[in-house]
Amino acid sequence: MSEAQRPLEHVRNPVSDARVERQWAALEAHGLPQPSGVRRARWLLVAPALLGCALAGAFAWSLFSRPARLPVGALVESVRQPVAVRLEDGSRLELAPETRMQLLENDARAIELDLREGRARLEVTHAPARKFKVRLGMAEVRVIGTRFELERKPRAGGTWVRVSVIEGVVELRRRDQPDDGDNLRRLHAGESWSATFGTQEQPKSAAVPAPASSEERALEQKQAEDPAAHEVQDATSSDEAKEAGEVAAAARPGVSRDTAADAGASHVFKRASVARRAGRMREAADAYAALLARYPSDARAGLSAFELGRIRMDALGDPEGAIAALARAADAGAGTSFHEDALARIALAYDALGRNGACREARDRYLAEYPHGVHAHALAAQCK
Amino acid sequence: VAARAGEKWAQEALFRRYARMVNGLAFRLIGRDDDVDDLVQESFLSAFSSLGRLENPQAFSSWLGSIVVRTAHKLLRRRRLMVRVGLRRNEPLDLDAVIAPSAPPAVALELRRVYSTLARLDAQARIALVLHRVDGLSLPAVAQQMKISLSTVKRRLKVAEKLLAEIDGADRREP
Repeated sequence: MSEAQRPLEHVRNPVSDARVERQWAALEAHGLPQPSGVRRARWLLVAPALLGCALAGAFAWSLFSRPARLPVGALVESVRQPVAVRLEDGSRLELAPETRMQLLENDARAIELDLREGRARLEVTHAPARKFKVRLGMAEVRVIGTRFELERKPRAGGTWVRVSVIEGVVELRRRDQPDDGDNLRRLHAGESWSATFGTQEQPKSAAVPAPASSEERALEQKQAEDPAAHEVQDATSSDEAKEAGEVAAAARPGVSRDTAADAGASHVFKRASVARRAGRMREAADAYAALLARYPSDARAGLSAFELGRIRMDALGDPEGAIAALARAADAGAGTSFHEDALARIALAYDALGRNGACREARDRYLAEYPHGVHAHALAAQCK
Repeated sequence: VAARAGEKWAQEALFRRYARMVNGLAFRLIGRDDDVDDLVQESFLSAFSSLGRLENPQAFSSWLGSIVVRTAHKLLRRRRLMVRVGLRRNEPLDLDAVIAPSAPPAVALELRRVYSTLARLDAQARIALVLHRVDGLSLPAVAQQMKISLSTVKRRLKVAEKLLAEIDGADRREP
């Protein structure tokens, strides 16, 4: 059956942009649910009242000279609020309140962390050439590319540790035993492991990794002497105050750069969304462009690029500018929700400019990636 | 990942990306506009609250589609019950509001046959019929979307096809 003969193509779809906006407003008014997996991990989000201001208070390491790189020995610490840190390789650490985690190694070949206390969730970027390990008391967790949670608590006479895998696989070994098959345990998604170790935290056997180097100890000592670097900003309740608090947090020395950047990006993104919903498209475009310029590695950057492209194309009559933004959105990866639309719009924007060669190239790329995509039928008729 | 972590901006991005698809599917399944908003809202609420259980994020579209189908099934059963107890009238579908004017004659005829049959089918049979005859899904795909067995799909479609044949026969007998 040809596309024109498919009944699906000839049933009306009574939806409009205004209706979509109304539906979203109704969803927001109803209250957006948290995914059930997140509800189980409530310790990451703390109480809902604190969630709105989660970025206002944070702790971070004070010794790194360049924002993008945490030095070896850096100790990330949270007190009353969770803290999120993104490593250079894209891996993300989310520390629950009252958690301390130290970076023991950080280069192209290996990343090693030590969970000193508390709970943390890690999303590790897959990198075949790089080892990723986490010390957990006497245990060691080896990661390939996955999401998992760690917990470490003092218990009477020892230390209790727990590992829960959300996605992927991790390998566990005791650090005080030889690194062979007998000392390896694999944990798959959905599995957990816990153990209590005795007070003898630093193993004496030769097979155990050496304790922290003198450089690490010096860094830790220096950090201990500078507790003011980990100040927490109190939460506020109203949205306006919250946004102001986020911006203040972003500008505040001593607050984790990752968290502060996230707060700043969040503020700009909200400003853009509010302007877009109110129909102030020029203002929205400026805000999305500002987010891209100031926070290019933020998680919202890809979506911002897509929205910017959409606005330039549909509201500002700027297909040339739209192509640049949409290309950036498409570069955010095939897994994003807007990737397909971004590719389709690039072809349409070239078509609007009369650049048929580029249009065909963009169209063919779309059709190669989404042969049965929602725009495949419409795009096939483009680029004449 | 951000939407699974409950980030509102990411949930909005997903909503805006898939709202048209969900609205279209919802409208095709229930055939009238007045319940579409409720169906869309319930579907997205259900999807957002169970995002953590989605094993393959690349399959979000299909997974969301199955949620819309399940939600539509509940809504249609509820509506049918209300009609039975007299709390709602079983109003005929406005076929001109369903079928686009651009539809070729053969397609328009097929859509008229399908949509004029729906009111006489139970919720499961009508959904199976729409997914198969209108959306063009294969029988296994219909079973997957509806989370029922292939043999159940076949049974439901058999009932629907029988009804379609009766309507065709009645049409032919008319002068």
